[in-house]
Amino acid sequence: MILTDIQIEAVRRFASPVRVEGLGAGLNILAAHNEAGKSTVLMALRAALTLRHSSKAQPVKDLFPYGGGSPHVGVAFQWKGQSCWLEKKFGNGKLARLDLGAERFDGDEAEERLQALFELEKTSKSEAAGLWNALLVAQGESFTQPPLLGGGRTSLQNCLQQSMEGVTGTAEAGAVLALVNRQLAQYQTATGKVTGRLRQVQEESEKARQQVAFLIDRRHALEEDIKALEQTRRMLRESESPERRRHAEEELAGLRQTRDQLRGLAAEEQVAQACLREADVRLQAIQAEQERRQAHKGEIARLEQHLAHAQAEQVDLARRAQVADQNLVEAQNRLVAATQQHRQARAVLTRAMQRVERARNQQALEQERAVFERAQAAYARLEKAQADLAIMPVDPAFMRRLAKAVQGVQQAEVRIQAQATRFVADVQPEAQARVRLNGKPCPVGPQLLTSVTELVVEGVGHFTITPATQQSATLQTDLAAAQAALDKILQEVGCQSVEQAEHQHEVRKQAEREVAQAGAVCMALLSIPDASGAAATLAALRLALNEREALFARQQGEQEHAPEEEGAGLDVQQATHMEQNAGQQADLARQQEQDALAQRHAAHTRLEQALAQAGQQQQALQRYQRELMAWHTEESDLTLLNHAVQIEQDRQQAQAELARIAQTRQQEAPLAVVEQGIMRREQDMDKAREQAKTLSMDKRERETRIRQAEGEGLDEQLAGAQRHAAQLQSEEAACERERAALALLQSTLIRAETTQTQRYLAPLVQAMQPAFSALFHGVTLEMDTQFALTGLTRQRAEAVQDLSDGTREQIAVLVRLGFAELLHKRGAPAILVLDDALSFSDSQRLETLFDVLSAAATRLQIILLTCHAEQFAPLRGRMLSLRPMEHFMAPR
Amino acid sequence: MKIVHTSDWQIGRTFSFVDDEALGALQAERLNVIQRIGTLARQEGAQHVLVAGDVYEHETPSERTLRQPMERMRQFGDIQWHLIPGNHDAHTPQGVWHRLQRDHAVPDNVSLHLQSGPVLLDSGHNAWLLPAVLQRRHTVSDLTAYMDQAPTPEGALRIGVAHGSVVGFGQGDEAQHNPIAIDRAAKAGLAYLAMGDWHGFCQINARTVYSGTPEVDRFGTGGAGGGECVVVTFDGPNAPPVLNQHRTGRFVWRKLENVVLTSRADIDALENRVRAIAPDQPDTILAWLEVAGMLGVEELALYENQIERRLRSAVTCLRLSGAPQLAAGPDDLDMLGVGGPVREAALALLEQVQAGGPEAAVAQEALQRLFLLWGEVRRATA
Repeated sequence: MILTDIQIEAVRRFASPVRVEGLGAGLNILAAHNEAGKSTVLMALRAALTLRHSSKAQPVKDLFPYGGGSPHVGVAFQWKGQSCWLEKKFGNGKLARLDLGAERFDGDEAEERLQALFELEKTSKSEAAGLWNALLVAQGESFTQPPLLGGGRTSLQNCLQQSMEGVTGTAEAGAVLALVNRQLAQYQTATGKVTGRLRQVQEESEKARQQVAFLIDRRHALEEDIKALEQTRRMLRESESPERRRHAEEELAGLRQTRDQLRGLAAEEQVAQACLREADVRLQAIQAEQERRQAHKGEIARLEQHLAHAQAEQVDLARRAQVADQNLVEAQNRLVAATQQHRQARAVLTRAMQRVERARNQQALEQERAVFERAQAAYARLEKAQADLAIMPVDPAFMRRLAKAVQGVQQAEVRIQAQATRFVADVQPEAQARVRLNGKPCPVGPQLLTSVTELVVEGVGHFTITPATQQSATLQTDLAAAQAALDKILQEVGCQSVEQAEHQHEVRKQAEREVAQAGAVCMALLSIPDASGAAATLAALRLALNEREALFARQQGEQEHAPEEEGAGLDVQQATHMEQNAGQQADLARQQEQDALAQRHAAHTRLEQALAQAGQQQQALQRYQRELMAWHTEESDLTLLNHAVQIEQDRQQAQAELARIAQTRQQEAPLAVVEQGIMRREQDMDKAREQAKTLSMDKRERETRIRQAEGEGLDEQLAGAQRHAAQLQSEEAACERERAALALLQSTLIRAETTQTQRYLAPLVQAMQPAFSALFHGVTLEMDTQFALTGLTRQRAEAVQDLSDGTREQIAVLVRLGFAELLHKRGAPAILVLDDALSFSDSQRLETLFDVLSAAATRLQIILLTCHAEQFAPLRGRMLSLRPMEHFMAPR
Repeated sequence: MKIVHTSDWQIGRTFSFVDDEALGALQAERLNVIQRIGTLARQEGAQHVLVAGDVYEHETPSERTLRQPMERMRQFGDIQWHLIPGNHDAHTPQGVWHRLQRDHAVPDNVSLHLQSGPVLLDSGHNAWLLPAVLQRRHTVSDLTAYMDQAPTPEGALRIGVAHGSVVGFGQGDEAQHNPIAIDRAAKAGLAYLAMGDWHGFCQINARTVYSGTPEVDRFGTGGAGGGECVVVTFDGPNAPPVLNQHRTGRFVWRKLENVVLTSRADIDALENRVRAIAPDQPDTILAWLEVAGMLGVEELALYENQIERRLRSAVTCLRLSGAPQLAAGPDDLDMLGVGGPVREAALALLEQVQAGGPEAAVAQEALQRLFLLWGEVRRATA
């Protein structure tokens, strides 16, 4: 089918008739600016196809022009080699006309034939719809996949050449699957997680199992309680047995009696042991007394013997003390003589040393006198040099002033030379004499001329050179002033020239060096830090030297007039030797005196000691004798002996008593054992009482627990819980079986439905696949039974709703193109009209889409309405235009 | 002289395979049967009822369960009830008998025999009772052995009562416990040995008899019948006793094994067979059906409706083991249409069923559900 003409009149903005010019096979592009009426053209085309001419519904009202009139649409097309014409007018003068080749239909008949031709179904009183709705794509519709109503689906189903039964089966499969899903939802969620009744049963079953386990534990506890209660009762009966208690009490009484007997024996034993100990003590005291008296007697005899021996020794010691006294007197005399000799030798030595000292003093005086004289000479030279220096006026200050005056003269000369005329003569040597400057032979080289100069060249003539006279007078005055200042300075020191002044300055520096050398000698000789004090130091030194020389002269005179003494002829060494000998003699005499003194002291000390010891012994002897006398007076030796005999008898009696007690004890168990036995039995009885109390409590507790368990009917509860658990287990198994069957049924149905759908949609997918493959490489399409593209798989499965706007638009356009291709293949009329589509596609995709559309346009007519002429220019389709017409022109 | 011999009341017993409503009814009936026994004793002129053990199901029943049978017996003050412990309610410390005595819960017309030894039963008839007393659940010695030497007056009517397994009868572990010599009655000179433990009536010899439980409590009774009491008539110490069985039970327990269903007729027959157990009182029926077989899609739906829903509602308990399998073939698939996903799915499931293996059972269930759901969808769209 190919649209060849579209005429519109009184439709929305088109009050006057317009025609779409240029329509033909293949690609047609109507490029016009916004609000040019492109969408109105599409609207009119849709109205002609799908709205009944007699309708007054809203879609028809929307067609009416703004300025009034009845919408009028005419469409010419080629179909199966025939020229066809469709014309509809709405509102006043409504009409419907369909020419199919030579056949013409009008009014409702035309509507019926139109719906049959384009496979449209009535969707309302005024409207019909079919797959064509998907092929006329208005602005904004290109982003969504076409919603197919009954007519559209029917068309597609016809295209897919499937029996209605297959489609019905799919619907019923959906219904069955819905039921399965609903039933399965009672057991599991969509993700397979257990839920609903199954989960409830599982939870209840688990609780029931726990309850059974709990009751079984309680049953075991009850059995344990019952066993333990019997045991407790047995033990309680045993512990509370009167026979057992009586036996224990009798045994305890017997033990206590034995313990009392043993305690009596122990008391008797203690008394006997005390008697024995007392006898021992008394006997030991008597023996000690006897021993003491015997010791005293022995001591008295020993002291008497010692005293006799001491008297003889005292006589000997007295004689020795006398001899020691005499030795001491002799030693003291020898010491006095030696000491005198030593004193004399020391005086000789002193005089010899005084002589040596005097000689040394004289030598020192002489040296000091020589130094003094050298210092005095140096000082005189210093004074002379200083006097010379004082009369020399050319000092460094003067020299600085002189240098400054010289510099002033030089600067004045330089300024004059700077203004001088430069005269350079380069005269041959042989001609030098013939050229004269100011009358003198002209020197070779540059000359500065500051005043009028006369140049004569022999054989040539006379030349006068007058330099520039600007400031010459001032400069000459300055020079004269500077020269005068210099002369004045030189006159101050009496010099005629600078060189003379410089010579005098050199003489002055020589005088200064002389002063410095003389001062240094003075300071070195006089050991002073500054030469200025040299005069005073020299005066003081002279005075001191004179005094010492006078003193020495006086001592010298005294020495010469002193009498001759012993040893005067000896020198110091000899005197020293003599003094040392005398000293040794004195030391020896002193040592001997000390020895004699020590011997005397020792002899007297021994004598005194012997006398003191004899006194002590005498006193001890008297004391022993007194004590012995006193003891005898108190208790004689015989009486003491009688007491000892009596005590020995008491002792033997106590030992006999102890032997008897020991013999008696051997016949009984030890007291500790008996007491331990009593204690153990008492503890046993206490323990038995405590145990009986504990057992009674335990018995009561267990009886209470058992009564409680009995009252609750534990076994019945357990049986009930087990029954409940078994029922739940059975129900859980049934639910699981049901769930497994439903899950299997669900998966099988889904698989079957998928297979069926794929098979059913295969022709449609096949029709779309090339275009999709061109745009999306390696793509696989997924469609549902409502012909909606639900997803595509490239590298992975992607849901359509998750794709970008541009991609979704491209997909929607390709799906519509697929529908058109499918209709075309079946020989049904099909074109594709896109209004303002593909505006979101990138350039690369758009290129590919153009290729796809161009290829499709070789098979069916495609009309693109756009406001982007340049964007669609590469398509190189037929360019359409909206051209006003004078009249609506229906074919004849 | 007449006595009524009964045993194994098992008061407080629970049943895991019945619902709560049925459980309540079954437990209540185990108490109600005491009244029927008392009434029987009166009708027969029997002064004594011997209960040969297992009065209670549990060693620690609840207080109410403990006292309920006592109170039922108290209502028959003219009848003397003689009770001995059984393996379920052995005379253990703190056991049921101890509790009853301790709490003074035993009516005067009830005698608890808790010690072995002759007890005067009826002075007028010089009748002596020789009880065997179980002190614990299981014993390996014959507690009736003492009866051989138990002294009774000359010419006395000696009646033994015991709970255990007669040696040589029965199988399994239970038969090894609490043994009783098969010739005890003869050796001990007993006119009658009233036995308990087996839940169905069983006569070992002329003087040794298991009465069975008065109200049936299981599908296999361990003997013939069940739900009965025995009225024993003595015409002297040496004359053989005369036994008369009397039905006392209300519920009828029946297990139908190897029920194979292959057609609609089989399903009808099964229902009729169950209902025939108690045609006038289907609410007294407890049936256990072991079902197998193969049914078509329609028949399977019929089975579910007729057996699993209708019959289950009619009886007290319908316990099913196994189920008929779906025998679906290509013909059955035609009802799902000649094409379409449902048929595809059914075909896939059928292949899994036919392949066998552990997944086949699940596939079978899934296929059954598919047919059921398909039917629902079709009915909804029709």
